[in-house]
Amino acid sequence: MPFSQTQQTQQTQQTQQTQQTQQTQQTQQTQSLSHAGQGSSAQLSLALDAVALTLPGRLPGNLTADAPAVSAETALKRLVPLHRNILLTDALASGLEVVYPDHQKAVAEAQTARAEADADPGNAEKERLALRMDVRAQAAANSECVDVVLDGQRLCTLTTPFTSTVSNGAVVTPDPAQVISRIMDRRWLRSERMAEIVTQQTDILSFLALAYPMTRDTHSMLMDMLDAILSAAGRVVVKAKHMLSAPRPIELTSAVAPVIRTPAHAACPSGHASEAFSQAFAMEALLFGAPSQELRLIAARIEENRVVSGVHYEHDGHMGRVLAAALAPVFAARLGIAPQAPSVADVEDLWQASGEEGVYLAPDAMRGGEGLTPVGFAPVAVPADPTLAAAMTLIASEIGQ
Amino acid sequence: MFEFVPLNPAGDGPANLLPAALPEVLEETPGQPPSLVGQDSATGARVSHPLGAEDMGAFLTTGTPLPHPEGMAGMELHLGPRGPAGGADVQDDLPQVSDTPADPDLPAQIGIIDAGMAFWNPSFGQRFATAGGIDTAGTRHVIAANVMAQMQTDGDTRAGDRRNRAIMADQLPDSVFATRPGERQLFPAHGLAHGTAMADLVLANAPAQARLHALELPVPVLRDLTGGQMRGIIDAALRAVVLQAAEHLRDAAGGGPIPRFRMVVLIAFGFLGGPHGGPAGRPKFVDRLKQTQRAFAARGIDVELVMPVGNHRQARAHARLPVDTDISWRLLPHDHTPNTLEILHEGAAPAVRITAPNGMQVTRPAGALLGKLVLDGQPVGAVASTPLSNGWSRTRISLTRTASRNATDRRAPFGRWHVGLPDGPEAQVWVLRDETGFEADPAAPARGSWLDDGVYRDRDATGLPALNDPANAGLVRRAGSASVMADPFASVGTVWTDPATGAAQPAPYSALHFDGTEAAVQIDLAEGASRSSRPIGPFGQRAVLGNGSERRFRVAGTSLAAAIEAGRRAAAVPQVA
Repeated sequence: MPFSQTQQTQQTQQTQQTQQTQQTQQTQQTQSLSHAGQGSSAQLSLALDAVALTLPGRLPGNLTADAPAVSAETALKRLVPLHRNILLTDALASGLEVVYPDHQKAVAEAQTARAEADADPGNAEKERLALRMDVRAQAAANSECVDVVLDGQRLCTLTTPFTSTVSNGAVVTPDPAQVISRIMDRRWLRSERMAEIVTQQTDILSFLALAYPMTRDTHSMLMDMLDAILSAAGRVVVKAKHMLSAPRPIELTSAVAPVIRTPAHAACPSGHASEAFSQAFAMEALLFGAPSQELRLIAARIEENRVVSGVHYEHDGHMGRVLAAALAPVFAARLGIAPQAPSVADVEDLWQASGEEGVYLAPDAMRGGEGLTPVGFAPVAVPADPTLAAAMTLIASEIGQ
Repeated sequence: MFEFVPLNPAGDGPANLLPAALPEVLEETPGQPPSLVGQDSATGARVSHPLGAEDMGAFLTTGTPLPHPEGMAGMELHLGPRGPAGGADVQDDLPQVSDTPADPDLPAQIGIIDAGMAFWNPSFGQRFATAGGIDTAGTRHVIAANVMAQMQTDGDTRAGDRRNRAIMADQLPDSVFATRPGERQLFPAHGLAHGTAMADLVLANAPAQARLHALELPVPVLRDLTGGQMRGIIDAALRAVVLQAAEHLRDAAGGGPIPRFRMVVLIAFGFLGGPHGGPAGRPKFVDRLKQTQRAFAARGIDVELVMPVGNHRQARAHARLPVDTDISWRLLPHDHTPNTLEILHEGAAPAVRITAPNGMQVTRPAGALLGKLVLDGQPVGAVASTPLSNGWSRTRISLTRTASRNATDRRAPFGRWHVGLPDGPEAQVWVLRDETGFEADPAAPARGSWLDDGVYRDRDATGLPALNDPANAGLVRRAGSASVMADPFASVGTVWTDPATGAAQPAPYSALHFDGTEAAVQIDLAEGASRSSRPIGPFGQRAVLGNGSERRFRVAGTSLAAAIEAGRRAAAVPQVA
């Protein structure tokens, strides 16, 4: 059994929530009330009532409305997991939206980007941006892309697996047969990956924890925060998937024959890629203060396993990685720490390949350091949100900051 | 864009130029250059010569011959291990053999050329008479008799096993016992070792007095997917193990002349899918082994070689290639080693059509002997044609790894490649030796590639394992899947006994000779097995000793059958006096 399950975490339910399969478990969790450490039951309540009736039951004469004050940290710790998760998730995800770009505006932005690139010939970055904005403008005409925005500002653009894209400095229109063959050609990895493929359906954090020893007993708030990172990314993912509405591979051809259940919701972006990379980037910022090659390799393998299993295209994983890179600085800023994720532009252009190949083919700076020592995070500000501030105080204590 | 970029080598070059020199052809930075090994086709004498960092590049692009010492002129050349080369070849200092005929009541000496023989396993007792190894330079090393005796005495405890492994690593640093810096242990105490399993089966079927002589192969040979290093060293290994036995008999005889003797040598480490030598499929090195056999016979030592026929069918390693018909060749993702196809055909270098998984196509023009394949600006492989004999030639297509942990390494796309000869001639195609399991880093695996015609099926219409090629078969063939070593020697296949009928049936994994025939000798893996070790069914695995303890591992394959046959042959009446 994965250790996150043995530690009675909420991560399992969180992952399944993004798959829209286990929502009831979340609700049940809030109703599984405990009483003084015992399970709730009518028998216990009747027994307690019998004892309570023998007590004096007199009210003090100086009764006021003031309960003993507790610190923000204690208040946060006392919450049931789901409530804590909701508060943390809301604070992290506030202001994040997914929208279809306005076509006319997208065309104008593409023209501006093109003009800036033409005015600065030889500037590869501007040229790449111009190409991307042009592709975005074309995709916007057919609702084949969405923008992830924060308070109206575009963080990144996500496209479907069959939308024209920019690769190696050129616009490429994907051939559906080639897109599918990249899944089919990985079928022979399925047997050796089966254990992780099945486990990762509901558990990502156990794998990321290969890079840092954390348990619910020792690092409860850190793990709650990572759960919230997953939930916050998951919210964006669910909206983006619904709006892009990309068909799953098995909807195009039965030849794919996925070895796990294909989720009912749309394919792109990959929820597992978005969530695994979001958590990996958060762990880098919280625990290592630097990009970690191990965390990126683990997240990349989780991402690729969804392709190997036959439920995602390579492009879904790339878009999940782009989304995670876009969200990482938002989350880091709200936690008051320095982000470690690569830029969206770099992930779009220089980290396109799936799995560990993608990590190894990326430039050195994006690959991350090997075998880092967990030195904790570098605070750059006090989190504005009091819930996140309290959580960071507790996390600092847990990781020996 | 997919391009063929011709190179300008100085002549044919070493026989295993592809894929041994693939890093140089693709202009990678391979670290140390390979060594150049020459072998005299008449005498078998070997000479190693270290190449300089620029030598191979100059050979490939400017037509500069590879530098080598004078004595290497006229020899058959192949590329040896990367790194320092040199050392002495096996010296043919055979003890004097008298005219006294071999005692027909004594069993033959048994040699095993393999990897990972824990001769100190308590189950073996004192059955191993000698143990030694051969290094990549062809130098032989023998464990001293007193050291070996102590190791056999120590072998019944875990601590003794650990000590013995350390001694082997020290005495045979090129063997699987030694752990190289930054690499995994190839022969861990808890794992299966092929050589020990072979010895177990040999002894289970050999007469009680038969003694074994172990010769460990060097790791670079095990890892070499060209087959070139094995073919360069196999003759030296054979001579080394025979010398080992002869010296043992000399010492037993007090140093004087030894009587004629018979020796059965098991070489169960196969040549999967090549290299092939010509229209008969027999390469020169096999002829050389025959010569060595004859030379020993002339000096009073009757050497029998026992080989597995091979397990190639499952790997889909062989196909016929009609004119203007493409065969599909599947490369797997996360394969950290190159893959090579060998096409055997009449005539000189034909036009070769190659299609990448993304649909891009290129044709290597007829007559171009060597060139690299460049896909979207990235070198991904190479094509080379080499004349053989009788107007036949061999064309090899090598594609580099599909994955690497080094960003600057070349990569070939994984997936289905297609290869065809648009203008003929008809040809035979093999996946060149693609054995896995000896890679330094299990997280950077070697994965076998295979041929696929969309028709080939593992099972026949009734759902049973297909044992022959149907009349209207596609391109992938079971016929011709036998090891190139198997043909001229005692080649051994596997059968299983159907308990319902009591009839022996060929095992579905046994390879077939080029003409579609089964191996000359068929062995049931249940032979000599205890009830608990017996295999069951067509794919049954026999429980064998695989290491330095009493623990057993279940395995199957024609190498096990060859080991049983080697044990049996040791008991047989000698055919040659």
